[in-house]
This record gives sequence, C-alpha cells and structure tokens, in this order.
Amino acid sequence: MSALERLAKMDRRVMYWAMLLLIALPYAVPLGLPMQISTYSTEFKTTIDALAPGDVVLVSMDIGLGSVSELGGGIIALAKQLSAQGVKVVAVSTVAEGSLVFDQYFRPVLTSAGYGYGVDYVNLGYAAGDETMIASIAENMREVYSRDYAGNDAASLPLLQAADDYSAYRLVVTFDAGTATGFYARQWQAKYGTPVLSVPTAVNFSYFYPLYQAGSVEAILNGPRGCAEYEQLIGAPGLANQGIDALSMGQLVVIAFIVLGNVAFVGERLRRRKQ
Amino acid sequence: MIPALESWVAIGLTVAVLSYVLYRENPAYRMAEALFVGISLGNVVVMAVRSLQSSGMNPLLGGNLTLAIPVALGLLLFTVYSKRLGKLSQWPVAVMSGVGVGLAIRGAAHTYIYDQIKASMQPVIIWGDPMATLNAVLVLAGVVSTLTYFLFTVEGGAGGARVKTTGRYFMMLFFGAMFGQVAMTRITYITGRAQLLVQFLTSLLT
Amino acid sequence: MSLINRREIPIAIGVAACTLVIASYFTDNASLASASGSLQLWGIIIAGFATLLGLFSYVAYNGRQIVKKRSVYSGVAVASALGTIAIGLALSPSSSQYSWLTSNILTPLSMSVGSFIGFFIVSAAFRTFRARSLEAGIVLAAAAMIMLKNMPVGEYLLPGVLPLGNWLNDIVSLGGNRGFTIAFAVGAIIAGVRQILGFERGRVAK
Repeated sequence: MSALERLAKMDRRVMYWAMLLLIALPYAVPLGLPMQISTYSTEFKTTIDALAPGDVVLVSMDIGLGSVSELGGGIIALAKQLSAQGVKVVAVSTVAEGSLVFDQYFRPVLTSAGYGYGVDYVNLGYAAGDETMIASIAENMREVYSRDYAGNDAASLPLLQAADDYSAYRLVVTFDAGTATGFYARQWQAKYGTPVLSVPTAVNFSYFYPLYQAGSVEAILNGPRGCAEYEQLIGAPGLANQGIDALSMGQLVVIAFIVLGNVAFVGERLRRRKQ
Repeated sequence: MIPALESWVAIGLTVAVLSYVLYRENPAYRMAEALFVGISLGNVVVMAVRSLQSSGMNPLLGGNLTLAIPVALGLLLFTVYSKRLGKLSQWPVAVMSGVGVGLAIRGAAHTYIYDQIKASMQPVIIWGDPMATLNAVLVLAGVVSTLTYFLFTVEGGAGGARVKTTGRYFMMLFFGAMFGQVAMTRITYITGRAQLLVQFLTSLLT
Repeated sequence: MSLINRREIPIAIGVAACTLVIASYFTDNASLASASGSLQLWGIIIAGFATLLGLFSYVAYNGRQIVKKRSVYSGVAVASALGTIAIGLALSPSSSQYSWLTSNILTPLSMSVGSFIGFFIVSAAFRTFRARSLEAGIVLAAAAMIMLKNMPVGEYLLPGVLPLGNWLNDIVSLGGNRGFTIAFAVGAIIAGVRQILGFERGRVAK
C-alpha cells in the first residue's frame, strides 16, 4: 500500500485524537498571539458605552448550556460592562436552558457588583412560543410573565413595574444560537425602532450579517472571536481569550486535513490517469 | 490537590461522552447519553410548566377567565392519541400556526425584504474611489444573480443561464464562508472540553 | 361528517388568526391590537402545552422500550427526566439543588455532546471537502479564507489574510447571502399567503 493510499484510508479516530490533543496544547502552553479588533466588536462596545446609569436593557438568553463554550466569555463581559455603567437588566429566554445560562454566568457578575434583585435586575426565565413570545413581551411583559424565574409575583418587582413594555427598554441584546436575532429585528426593531444587538454563535453570524449590514441589527459580535475581542475592549480578558489559541489550533487542524484530503484525492486521480 | 466532587462528576461525564468518538460506542457512553436526554427533557418540561403557570394558569386562577380558552385548546392537543377525537388536536395547532405565520409575514416583509432591498439600492459608481465602486458592483451583482437563480418560472435564454451560473458562484462563496463559521462554532465545543481536561489534570499534578 | 372531522374548521381558525395578527400591524385600531395581543398570548399558552405533549410522547415511547426490551438505558433516561421534573417543580429551578444538577451534570453533558460535530467536521474536511469542480473549489477556498481570518494564528502566519477575509465576508459573500435572505423571506410569505387562503393544509388538515 502506497503512502497516499494509507493516507486516504486513515482511521477517523486518528484525526479525532490529533484534534483533541492539538486543541488541548495551548491550554498547557499558551501562544498569546496578538489579535486585531474588528469594527463589529468596537461598534458593539460603543453602543453599550452610550447607555446611561438607570437605563434598562433586555437581555435575551437564547442559547443552551452547550453554547456557553462559545459565547460564555461574551456573556460575562456584557454583564461586567453593563454593571460598571449602572445599567438595569431584565432577562428573558426563548430557550429552556437559557434561564440556567443567565443564572450560572450573568447573575454572579451582577450580584458581585452589588446589584439588587427586583430593583436593578430581574430574571424572568423561559417562556414558550419563540417569535410569538418575543412579539408579546414587547407589548405587555407582565401578561406573558405573571411570575419571574424564582416564582415571585412580577407585579411586586419594582423594575418590572417600570419596564413593562418596549418603551422602557433602550436596547435588546440577544445571545443567540438559533433564530432569535431575526425575531427581535422583526418584532422590536422593525415595529418599535428598539435597537437590537446580537451575540450569535459563529455559524449564525453569517445568517445575521445581512441584517446587521442593513441596519436591522445595530451591532453584532462574530461568535467566540467577537467575544474575545469584546473582552479585550472592556479590558477584562476572560473565558473567550483563554480559548482563542485553542480555537486557532482547531481551525488549523481542519485546514490541514482539507489539504491532506485534497493531496490524497489528487494523488489518486494522477495514479488512475497513469493506469 | 484533590479536585472537588463536582470536577470528578464533570470529568467522568465528559470522558464517557467523548469515548464514543475517540474509541467506540460503549456502556459508559450509552449511560451518559441516557442521562443527557433525560435531564435535558426534564428541564424543558420544568421550564414549560413554569411558563404555563406564569402566562396561563396563575392569571386564570386569579380571575382572567378568557384564558380558559387557550388552556382548553392546549388540552385538546392531547386528543391526538384518540382515534375518535384525534382531529380536535388540529384546532390548537391551527391557532399556533396562524399566529406564527401572521407574525412571520408582517416581520419578514419589513426586515427581510424591504430593509434588504433598501440596503442594496446604493450608488454603484463612486467617482474617485475604484475600490468602493468594485464593492458596490459585487454586492449588487451577487444579489441580482442569486435572486435570478431562484426564478424557476423564467428561462431567460443563454444570457439568463449565465446570470444564474454567476448566482451559483456567489452562493458557493457564501456556503464556503458559512462552512468556515460552522467550523469555528463546532471547534469551540471541543475547546471547552479540552480546557476542562487540562485543568483537571493540572489540578491532579499540583 | 361530524363537526369534529370537518377540515374547514382548523383552516378557518388558522386563516382568522393569521389575518388578525397581520391586520393589527397595518392599522392603529386599538381593539384590533388588543385582540391580536390576546391571540398571541393564547399561542404562547398552547405552545407550553405542546411541549408537555412532547414529554408525554417521549415517556410513552421509552416506557414501551423498558417493558419490551428491558432496556436499562431507557429506564435511566425516563428516571432522570422524572427526577429532574420532581426537583424542578417541587423545589424551584432557582433552588440550589436544581442548580447543582444543571451546572454539574447537564452542562458538561451538553457541551460534550455538542463537541461531536466538531470532531465530525475534521473527518468531513478530510474525506469529502475536495476540489472536484470549480464550484467545490470556490467553497473550499472561501472556507479556508474565513477560518484563517478568524484565528490569530492566521493573522500571524499570513498578515494579509484578515483584510482579505473581511472583504470576502463583508462584500463578496454578502451578495449571495442577501439574495438568499430575500428569497427565503419571499418563500415564507408565499407559504403564509397559502395558509391564509386555505391552500396550506399540511399541518392542520391531513
């Protein structure tokens, strides 16, 4: 068997182990390469910068726990920037695990910044209905959420008394592994003009890029890379920056296997042509 | 340093799941898979019940009697298991799909068509800036040729075929860019697990 | 034909719901807006019941598997689902016990299962991502360019890759992407209009 044939018949597990080990390497020996900041991330940060203390922001956690590997850094960074500016937060979710993500990653930053529950932030949790829910909370939040995530009466929460519909919110930020960015753009931005900021997974960045380019989405972060840039912009490198070298290695491995696959393919073609 | 119980649990479950791809299907993987499906589903139900209580049952019990209608319609969904009454389950589905389609139509017309066409209608020739001109031409050519590709009712002759072929090339560029983004998304899942494994091993060794 | 079996009823419900939601967007009539708002709330409540129906089906299916095949894994799946529901509803999803369950068991499982596609992308890249034609070559080149521009190592090894990759994403692939977006929206609206006119019976009137 020639080298090319052996290459073409490589066991998939060899590739998987190579992937895992090369991705793990930068966690043991960090590369620490510099990273240019994109205009998307700068715009995202400056849009948040423009908020004043006391402004209310709707944070929509439209991701499951699995997507935290990708957007966790961005979640913590946003919580840090909003709490540093004294911005109030109302959290909702169109995904069942979204409220868990808020509780595990966003809330600890707010509480350590001295935020008071019900006054400075509220977690309303999950509500079914996707786009229907997003359209409804714009009109009457307490009708959809008569109780918050912890089971408190929503009417008893001072923040929700003041922020019961779209008019009270300066902007919406959605952490999105699905289609929520499009839903918010359709139901909040198009109808009421509320700016929508999106932190999508990298794959969804492509879907939502035309919305951002057309102005339906005010600012956008490019998945984990965008989150790493945003962390740097607010001066708090964290989860996303820790993972960016490993991400580089992983993508290098994919490119290397694309090249190897094509070498094997071309070699096989040449061999057949000779025969 | 001996890691905490939580770290052992997380590592055990991670290794059990990864053993499927790095080794082969085995009882540890199947057990972890069953746990994952069960707890995920359990969580969805907990959240759905809380959502139902919050938007339906509590206000209904508080005196908003009109909500008895959607609650009754929701219960009709369960008639799907009945041979005699099964058709009744289509009524609540009709409400859900009717509302969903209505919302989608009104939003899509504005955001996905009007705004997108408006953003495409930009000056194509920008005097003194050849790069900007090239960019504007590329975007417009991409939009027009891709839309032409989806015009199945018009043949358009040889010229039309060329435009459609150009549209296909633009779509291939988009698909390629998408694949690059997909790779980034999926690799981050592995980076998270690799970080956990390295941290755990480091804590064992120090 | 009994009233229950008449397929016109769910179609009429869907058409009415869809029309009401659209009409409320294009007028400033307060009662229409209020009716549309109520209907949307109904949709949310029914969607909650639909999720519960999903659990019901899942438990019924796995229950049969447990009885028929005496499958331990199905038993674990059902037991963990019911256990999660019991903790979540008896205590609260914000309770420390529920948080422990989700952060230490569900989170690592969810992230590990998600990583599968990351691994599969490597073997797909090796076995199927080949420049067999011009179109495939375009996809391949665009994907490699986007991956290189997304990683700091790419900027380090090939200094021009970032501006070139950004140009590819922001300009060249935007045309195809936007064409897709508009075509998708037109398709969604046509499906919606078919629903309003009662032609779309797939979901409600088989």
